[in-house]
Amino acid sequence: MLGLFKKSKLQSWQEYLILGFGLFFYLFTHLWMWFEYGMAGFGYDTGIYRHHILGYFNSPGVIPFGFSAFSNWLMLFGDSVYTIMFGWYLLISVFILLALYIVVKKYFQSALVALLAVLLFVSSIVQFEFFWWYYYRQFLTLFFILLAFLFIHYRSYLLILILLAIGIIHPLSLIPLGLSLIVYLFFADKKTRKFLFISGGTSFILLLVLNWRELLVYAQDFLHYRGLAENFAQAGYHEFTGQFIGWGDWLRYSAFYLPFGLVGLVRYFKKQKLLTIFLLVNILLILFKMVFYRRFFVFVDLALIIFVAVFLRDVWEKVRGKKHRLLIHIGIVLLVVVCLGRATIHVVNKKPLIYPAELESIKSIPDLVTDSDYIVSINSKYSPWLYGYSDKKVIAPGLFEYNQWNKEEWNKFWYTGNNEVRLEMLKEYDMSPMYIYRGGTNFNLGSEGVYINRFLLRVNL
Amino acid sequence: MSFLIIFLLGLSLVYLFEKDKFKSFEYVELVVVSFGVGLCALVVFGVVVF
Repeated sequence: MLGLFKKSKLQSWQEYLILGFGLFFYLFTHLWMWFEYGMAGFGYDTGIYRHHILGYFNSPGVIPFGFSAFSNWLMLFGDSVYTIMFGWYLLISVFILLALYIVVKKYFQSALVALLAVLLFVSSIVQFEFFWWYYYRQFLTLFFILLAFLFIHYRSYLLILILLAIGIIHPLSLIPLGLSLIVYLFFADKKTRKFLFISGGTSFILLLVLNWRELLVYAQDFLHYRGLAENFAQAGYHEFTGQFIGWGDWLRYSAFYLPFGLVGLVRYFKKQKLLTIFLLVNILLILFKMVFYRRFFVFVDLALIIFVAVFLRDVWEKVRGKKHRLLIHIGIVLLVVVCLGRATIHVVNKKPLIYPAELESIKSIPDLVTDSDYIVSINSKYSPWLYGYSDKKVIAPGLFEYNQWNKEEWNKFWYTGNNEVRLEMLKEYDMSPMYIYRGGTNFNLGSEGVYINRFLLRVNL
Repeated sequence: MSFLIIFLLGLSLVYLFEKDKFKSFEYVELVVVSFGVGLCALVVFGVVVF
């Protein structure tokens, strides 16, 4: 690889070779869990998205979810639910990588910076975890955010379309981008300022007009809890932290490149104002623990990776002396190799939330359970999967609309050794029979529970 | 098939609105931008239709 950069500029074939390698590694990490575990190899929100992909057609009259504006078209074009959930998700991930490459190349006028950004991105454990958790909406908007950066660079009014799409699919992602653009107005030149006023203003008004119903739902909760994750958590909605990595994990995952990113930021914050503002706005939102704040680590990591890439490029190109140049080049290659290696170990050692046998058993519930519309999820890790795959209304701890117990009551249900107490609690739901999905846990109801299979219990009340 | 529809929609929109820049896009950039614009257009239209 060192010999590739003997000339001052990369040749096209060298560029595509490294980009191709990055893409290959990216596909390897992104397909590993699927090869090992099928759809069970994906993260927490998988079942929820399956429910929503089918939901528009199954639940008329419900306020349409912005994501449906994406998935419904694909269903109408003839794509299956599985193709939308897996094929399209993988396709979007490839386009995210390509968009990153293009944006960085445009902003820094350097193929080397773009390639380094690609290599760091594909080796980022943060980005892998983001893909794995299956936050489809935010994943889509990550692609759109990169396009937004590109159209801002071009001062193209197609930006209006991109901002609208972000606001429809995942309004949360529009918050850091929107705030960044507002702050950037104070630092941009006159032409850019005018462009941003028109694009931003138009897209904002159109977003209110087109998506007011969904935004109203979010706005009501946002204002009630003052937009802080802590307030949501105190009311029992712990998932409003964003259910993603926290500071500890992020620092651990980015340890090898964080210092270089900070140096890159110090060197380039004046030349790359928009990227700097975007990074700092996301950090502030995390520090203030805004609702879903943990999701913003994805954007922080993205921006940081770009600053790392430009710093490494500077070091690569500007080091003097043949001996020093060789050492530095070897050092940078080693850094990339270590990051790639670390990502490989992380991915290969990762365990799924549920196992294929459990998912298959959940998929069989519509055939096995014909005398009840409900199913109880004994463990919250099964809840989204039951929601998406069981075709039943799910009674789950802390989720969905059918649960009647608070945290204390669920704890009582799980930990009391007395099955009679459990049965009395279940009678509160006023339905019989009740089906309880216990999965691989050792929950049982003694002689009161009849095993439909080793994962599913039936109880007559 | 759906990818093709989205890509061609995006390509048309990019050509329509950015005729000047259209010829200067690299191939990878044109594919990414066209697909992205097509997807966004579909989403925006979808929120009206659905």
